[in-house]
Amino acid sequence: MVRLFWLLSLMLSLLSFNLAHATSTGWLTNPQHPPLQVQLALTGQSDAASQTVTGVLQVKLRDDWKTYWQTPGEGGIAPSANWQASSNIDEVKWLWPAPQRFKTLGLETLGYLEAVSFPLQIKVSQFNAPSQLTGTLTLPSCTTVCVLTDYQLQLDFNPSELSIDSDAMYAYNKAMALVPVQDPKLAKLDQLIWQQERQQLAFDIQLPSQAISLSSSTQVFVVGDGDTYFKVEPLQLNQNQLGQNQLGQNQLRGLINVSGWLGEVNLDQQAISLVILDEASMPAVALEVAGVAQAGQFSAADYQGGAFNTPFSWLSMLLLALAGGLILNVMPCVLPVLGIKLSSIVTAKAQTKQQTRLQFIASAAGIISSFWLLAGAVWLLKLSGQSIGWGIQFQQPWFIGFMVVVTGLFALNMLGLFSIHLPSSLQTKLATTGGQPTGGQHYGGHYLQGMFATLLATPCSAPFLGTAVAFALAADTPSLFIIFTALGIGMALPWLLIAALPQLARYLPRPGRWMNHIKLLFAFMLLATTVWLLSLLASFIGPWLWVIYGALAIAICVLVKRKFGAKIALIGISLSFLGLGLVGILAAVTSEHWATPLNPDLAWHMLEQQDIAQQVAKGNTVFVDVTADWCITCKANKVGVLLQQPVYGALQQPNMYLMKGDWTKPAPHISDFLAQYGRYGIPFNIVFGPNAPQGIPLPVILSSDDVLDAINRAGAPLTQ
Amino acid sequence: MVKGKLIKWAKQALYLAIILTLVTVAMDWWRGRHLDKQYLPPLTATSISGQTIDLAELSKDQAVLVYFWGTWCQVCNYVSPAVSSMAENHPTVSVAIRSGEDERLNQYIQHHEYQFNVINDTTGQLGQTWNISVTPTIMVVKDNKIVHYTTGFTSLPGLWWRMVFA
Repeated sequence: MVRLFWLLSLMLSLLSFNLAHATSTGWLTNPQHPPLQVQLALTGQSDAASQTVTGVLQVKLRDDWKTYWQTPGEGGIAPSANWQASSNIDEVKWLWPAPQRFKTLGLETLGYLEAVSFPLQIKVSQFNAPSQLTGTLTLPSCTTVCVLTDYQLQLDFNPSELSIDSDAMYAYNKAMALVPVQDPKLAKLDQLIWQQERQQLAFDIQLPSQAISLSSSTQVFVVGDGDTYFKVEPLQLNQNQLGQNQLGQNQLRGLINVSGWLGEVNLDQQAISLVILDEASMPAVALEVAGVAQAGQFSAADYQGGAFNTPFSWLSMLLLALAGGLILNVMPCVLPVLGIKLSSIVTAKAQTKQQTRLQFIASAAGIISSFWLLAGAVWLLKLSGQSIGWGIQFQQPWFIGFMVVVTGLFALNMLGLFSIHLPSSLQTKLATTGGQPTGGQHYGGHYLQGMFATLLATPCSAPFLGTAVAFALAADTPSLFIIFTALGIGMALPWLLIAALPQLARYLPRPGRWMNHIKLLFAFMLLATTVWLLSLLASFIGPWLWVIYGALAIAICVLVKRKFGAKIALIGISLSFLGLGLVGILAAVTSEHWATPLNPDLAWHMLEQQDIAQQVAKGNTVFVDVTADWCITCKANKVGVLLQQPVYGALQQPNMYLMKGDWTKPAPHISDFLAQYGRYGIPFNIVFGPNAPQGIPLPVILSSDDVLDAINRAGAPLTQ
Repeated sequence: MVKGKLIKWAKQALYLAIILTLVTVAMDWWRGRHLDKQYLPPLTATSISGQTIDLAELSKDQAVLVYFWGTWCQVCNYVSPAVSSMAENHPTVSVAIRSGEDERLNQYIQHHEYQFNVINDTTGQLGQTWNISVTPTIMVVKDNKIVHYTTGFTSLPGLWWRMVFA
């Protein structure tokens, strides 16, 4: 009994202690909007001389909810508070930690995800008097919908009798580290020119090289009027320029496209601040420079960043797209479709030239329009702010699974083991008929055949179209559609050739037994594609893969037995075992004659963006390889260049730090990393070093010279 | 032969349309489950162009598109043009929640060339009586009752069918 009383009194005393020092509102939720939580707390720190106390306003956001920075970007509004009802409070200064950039439905916004803490500096009238901080906080938050939520906040305290709240103190200091610092010794705004007709602002910031390390992840934000949207174009980073004082200076230049929600903007003589954020340094650095914009003329090229733009010209990209499309036709997945189509003209004697021509044009149209469908899908993904890249379809197990079924069934169909009875004659139209004596009136079937060819091409496209598609993804919307059109035309070229010169078909060999052999060859090519696709599923389903392989083999045996009888099936099975065994034995016996022994794989570290800057600071040279299991070009680069001398030796030097990013499955941090360098596909290799902290991106297809040259340039000591 | 195929395809298309409609209706119901759809608070106000609007009166025997939005809502940038197109042929009332004074709002509307009526709910009071905190919110009101209710991104065809089936 006594014990219980003792416990109760202890609890009461604890409670009263807390009440006496309640300098926090605790976490508040507005029932109208449960995903958000808000807490206002004083840190307990005070300064009698300046009559200020410090506080922190913490916000927690669940799921995808975001709130905004002081200049919110394209749409949106900054959080605000009205402290009018307070007593003994002169001023509340709200500080803004540097924000993150977000894309929602193609709109850029600046703000915070998950959590943010805003430091507050509160100036009181009398330092020794009871004070009350009372206010209404209006907090905007958005996902695909937006909500404005109000919170009533109240804190009673005496500035001279505060006790330290360690949690609030930690939150305050952590947030302060990201509040931009204004210091002319660290960053100076040299130029801020406003061009009225183009609605464009150009800036030039000088930074002593030791203040901040410029890198591709350096970002600039504009503090300005909330009704104006400032779109910061890619930055121009100039390292180690000689400044007026003849010391090494970094120069940061950029262009800002300005647009107003309320009409045309005039920024002449307007005060504007720029925030520079470098998250790559440890800890992250945020600097602020302020200036007044002056009307004037400038050449956009002088301020444009181009360091990380794709180093390919438009024309070469178009040619590459055409060639890539053309190559698709000889891919194991597509060749059978073209082959069957051609054989159909040979067999169908009754056809006129005109009919042949129209059929092939219909198929070509099918190909080109399905590339437009692809372009449309990619464009929508891009709009929705998804991280995209060519090859992401291979990160989707259902896509691989679907293609396994399609290629598998098509292969079995070619073997004559299986005929699919899709609604009426759809299937035969899709794959086999081409020019059955339907007379060629129904060109819809040929059109669908073209689309089917494109569908079959998608699994084969990633390794070969990577560069062109990556270029298209990085470009604006019209360019994206133009590149995809070029891909489509490229793939449709053989079809178009026959359409233009139907007499070519006459030179094709007469139909005969050889066609069955070709068919068998096609079937095996398709089966090989199926097996390759299945192997990609390994990273999703693990050992189940072997079960599926087994099931596939049994299915083929059963089908062969049904169609040709048990005898043929047995012969077939034993022949394939025998064949496989022979190939294996031959390979094992002769391998030393033809296989160059491959060096063992290098020691790779996981790709972590912040580690790059750390390693470079230590004086190391960092080689980054972003790769995936399904990326054949990546494998070719590895086997052909990275694991071969002299690159292999160079990569094993003690000052080399190797990092590998695996993109086999979706990985946002890797997509972000790629996007920073304007890449949307892999392979991607980049070299960082003391002499190139911003990185030297390597071409998609590596050569020993490129790699060695980049390593030398990045790592070589500064030459004066 | 051709006719039979056409009918088959038409059937497929119809099934797809029915499924899509069912899904949307279900989502609309889920989003609007907290609303009282029968007894609406009064919506009588003067629009920023000086027009007197009474929703109860306006929605007699006809469907009215009611759109809650804000200049601070980025998704509204996508929905407003669609609502603006609808407003050319269908009775439409919009409420701008906490989007500043009349002058600023007028400037905003004119810059974007939106065609719909706007009631300026400067304090957010109107939104609160309607129990609406989420923008964009779109509803179709007929005889002063909510027939359709949805939030978030809605396309022009999406708006159109909700008006037609009201």
